[in-house]
Amino acid sequence: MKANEVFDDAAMSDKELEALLRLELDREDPALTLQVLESLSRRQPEKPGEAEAAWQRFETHYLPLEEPLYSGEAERPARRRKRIWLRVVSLAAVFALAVGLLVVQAGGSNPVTRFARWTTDRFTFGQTDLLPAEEKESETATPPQNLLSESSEPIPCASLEDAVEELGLEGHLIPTWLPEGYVLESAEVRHMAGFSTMYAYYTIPGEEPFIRFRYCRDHPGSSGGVSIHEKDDTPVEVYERDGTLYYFLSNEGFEAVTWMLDDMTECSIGGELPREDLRKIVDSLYDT
Amino acid sequence: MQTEEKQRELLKKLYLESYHSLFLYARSVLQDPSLAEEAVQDTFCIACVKQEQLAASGNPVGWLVQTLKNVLRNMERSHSSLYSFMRTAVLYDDTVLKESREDANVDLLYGDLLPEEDFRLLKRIVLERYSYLEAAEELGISLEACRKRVQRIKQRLREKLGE
Repeated sequence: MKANEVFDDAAMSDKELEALLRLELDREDPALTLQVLESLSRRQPEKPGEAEAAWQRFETHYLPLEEPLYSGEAERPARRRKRIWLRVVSLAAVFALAVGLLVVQAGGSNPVTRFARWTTDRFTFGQTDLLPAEEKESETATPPQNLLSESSEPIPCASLEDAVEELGLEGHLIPTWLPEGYVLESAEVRHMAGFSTMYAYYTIPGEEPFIRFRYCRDHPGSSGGVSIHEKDDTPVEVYERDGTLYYFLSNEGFEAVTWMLDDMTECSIGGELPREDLRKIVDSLYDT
Repeated sequence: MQTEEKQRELLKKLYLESYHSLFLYARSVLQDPSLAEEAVQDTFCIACVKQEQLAASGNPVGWLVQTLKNVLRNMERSHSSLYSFMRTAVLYDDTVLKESREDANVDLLYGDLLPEEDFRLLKRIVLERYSYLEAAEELGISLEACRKRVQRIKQRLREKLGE
């Protein structure tokens, strides 16, 4: 759903709205999230005294906790962010676009239809046209298609290799080098309607920092979707390896690299580690 | 600088106004009301710790929704990690591979790895999807003690499985 499309919930059931919220966990559209929540709250109003009873339980059982049960800063620090998407495509993005086209066309492949675009605080692999989606006006409100999950139960995997195989991917996706001490903590795949996604987390036992691998493949024939990465104003670094463009992003101490494996598959690796280590991980994807 | 009393009042006001929406979001993702409440309560725990950030955000509800999203992702990651440990423990013992993987038989699998009480707690959290509060109430311990016990169990499994 494009950001400036009117969200029409009249045609959607409660189950469909809930499925949309589950989908929003992997994608980032804060405005849509709030709209869906407002709609659900109208349809399923709070029972009298519900929040007050929950507050009593909060005071009784959760305070004072030494620390919360789960971190609230898994991927992005909870800091104030400008939420304005600048409606200009940077020159750097245009250059990267041009380089990408040249590289792919030189190889004789069909041109990719996803182009890297970024502003001071967002990065995405958008669709073919250069203008951000918000620039366009939508004449009709269309409920999201193919976004509803048929089955999104996670499939645990024993290794990154297993997860990549479950996702049906081939290519340079398995690193042979990671910073010392990191071991696989978990890997899982989810098959949603329209796309499948894989998460693998590596950690140093007993420590908080993690390295996250995320590979997301659109299903053939689906309208697909995009991930929007939050970033700070550190310049995006473009690194080419064997015809693939790797984009290195920073977000207040969280370093990430993202690339398109093919026209349907977006990949990213991220964590609180030096960019140099991330580059070494990318290079190790090509070790056989 | 606001007094602690004033801060608590403001937090309670925000809590009462936004609890239901946050609960609906969490329940949509987790498909379980107990776990959904746990996610929302934990989000407000984080809000307690980061009250200045929350106040400075200019959009407290948006901040809470974003924090809840991170909590939900971490809950799923933590659950997945514990599930992987249990699964690895199954593969660790060669004799187990030949046996049925039904939950009813899983009681036989952990005799050498965990004390029975710890195994039962892990089973509640991982396989039966209890919230930490539900598990704590069953055991008659505090939420904090339950959380720490699960952390210790995870650490012990890591050591025993050689990771």
